[in-house]
Amino acid sequence: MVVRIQATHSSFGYGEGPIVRGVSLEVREAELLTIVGPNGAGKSTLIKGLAGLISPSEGRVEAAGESLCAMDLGKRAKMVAVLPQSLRHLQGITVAEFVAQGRYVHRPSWQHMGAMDEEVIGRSLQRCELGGLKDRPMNQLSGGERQRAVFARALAQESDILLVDEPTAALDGRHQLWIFEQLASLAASSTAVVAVTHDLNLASQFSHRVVLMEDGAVSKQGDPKDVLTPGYLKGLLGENFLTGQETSSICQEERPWFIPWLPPPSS
Amino acid sequence: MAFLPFFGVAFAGLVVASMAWGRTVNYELGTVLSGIMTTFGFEQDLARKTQFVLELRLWRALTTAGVGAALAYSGALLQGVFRNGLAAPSVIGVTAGASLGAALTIMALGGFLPSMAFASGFEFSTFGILMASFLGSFLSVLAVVLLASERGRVSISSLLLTGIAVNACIAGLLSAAQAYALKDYEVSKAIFAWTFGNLDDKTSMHGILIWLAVGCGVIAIPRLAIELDLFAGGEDDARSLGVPTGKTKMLAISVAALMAATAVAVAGQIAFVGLVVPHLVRSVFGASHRQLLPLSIMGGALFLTGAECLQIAILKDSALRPGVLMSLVGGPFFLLLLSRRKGAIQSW
Repeated sequence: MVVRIQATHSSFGYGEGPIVRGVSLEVREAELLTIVGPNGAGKSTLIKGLAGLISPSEGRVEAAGESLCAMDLGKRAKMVAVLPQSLRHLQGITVAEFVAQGRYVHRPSWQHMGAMDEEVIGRSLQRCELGGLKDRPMNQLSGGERQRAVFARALAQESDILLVDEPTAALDGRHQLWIFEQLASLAASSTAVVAVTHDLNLASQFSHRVVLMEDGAVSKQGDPKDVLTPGYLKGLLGENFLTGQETSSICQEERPWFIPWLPPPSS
Repeated sequence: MAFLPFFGVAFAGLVVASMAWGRTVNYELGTVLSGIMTTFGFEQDLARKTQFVLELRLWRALTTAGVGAALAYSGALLQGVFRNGLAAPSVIGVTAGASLGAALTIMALGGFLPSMAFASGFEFSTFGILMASFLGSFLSVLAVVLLASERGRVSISSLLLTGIAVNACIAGLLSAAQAYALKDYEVSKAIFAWTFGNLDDKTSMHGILIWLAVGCGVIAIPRLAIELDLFAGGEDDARSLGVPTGKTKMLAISVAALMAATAVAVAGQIAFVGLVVPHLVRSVFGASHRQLLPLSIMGGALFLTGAECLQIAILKDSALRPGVLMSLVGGPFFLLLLSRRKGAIQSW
């Protein structure tokens, strides 16, 4: 299994002490890795660190034997694409123009795109079912359409590694499933995918490995059924949940599911 | 650029119109064309006085166009970097620094600062004030950028706040200087008049200087246009798409400062061109900087030359300075723009 990003004893923060401490993590080719954990555990900070957007205060983050945050930005953008949690200021730009932003490091000149660029953009729009919306302004899209456009832009970047920060926040169930299906299918075609999510069921169902973060450190990582155990849920929710097992679409294995559920008062 | 021919025709028309219509005397088209040819070395049979007036008007029109182009380009760049449609050259200290530089030089020429062996001839004082205001804006932008940077990186929000603080400091110094100069009527009048902006009495030096600056700025467009588009989603997003955000910021701010500093040095304070022209261009042609930057340059040139031409032709009032007119017309116009696009503005 090819390791795409290697983090060794890495700590990350924004100036005043580290938020994420001593993380050692491998991001592997053809694998969907999900990062779960409560709010404030440092998941988004870890994603930024793995993307090279913030440099580790301790330890190293390397891709292809090179430090990610010291790497030439163009080279890094060809290697790592990031799907951000939220994007503002999207008025005055069409879906096609937005997706074309992903070709910044590939396009031959500032005025024109190459035939290759056009082809990749067309394919990304197609895959995200945005063909009919490509001339629509970005700020007139629904939440689901907008997230599909952000995903299409990351596809257009044609990188080997995709880092995703809470891609299903504020999406309906259909779009949540759609996003994770796409992430799983990218992983199946050898991309290394890392996704931060709050949805333990999506993590359980679709990921090859789960990383559990608590209080700025990785507390557990491994197979979903070994990390997302009823014992872990008890620590989070007490007795207030229902659980069961169902066959996962990606590996034909039984994987656990959970619903937070407040039982009726006993008396 | 498909708009270049249209711009060329409109620009040529406006230059000829501003040479033909004046406060004192109007000329025929043929006379104007002969005047232009004589200016550039193809002698025509014209009275010396006519030629003198025409040359003055030609350089005034060219300088006006250059100032408009530089201010609008500067505004478009800063609005892109700050991701805020209210950014204007004054935000990073250009205008305040230039005013202080000009005021101090006017005072020195007026005999306020001791032992400054200035010969206060017309040519020298014009050039001296120009250089001092350029130096003033250069130094204040440098102060804003240096004070806002932390370990070599400049964050946009600290740049904005530092800009406000430095502007306040310089405004205080300027008030102090003005209060000190108040006892000399001529000097305080000259300082006061400078703040109105002035597009009259421009020579070839002014015209060439401002267009040279605009020419230097245009070279940066290929390195800035797409990059500023990608800034819209935030700096982290731009960086993950491969944009060298640090270099882009510094280049955009340097070019914007050069444009605004030269414009203010050449013509004094002219408000609203840098704010309104990029907005107009954006509302008609869209927000992509590949169009916005070149079209703001062309639009700024046409806008200010047109406004100046109309003011002279219709009002014939030499007391109404361009800075005043721009504020009087630009303010309400901008309010109109705001009220019609409230939805778009609330999402900033």
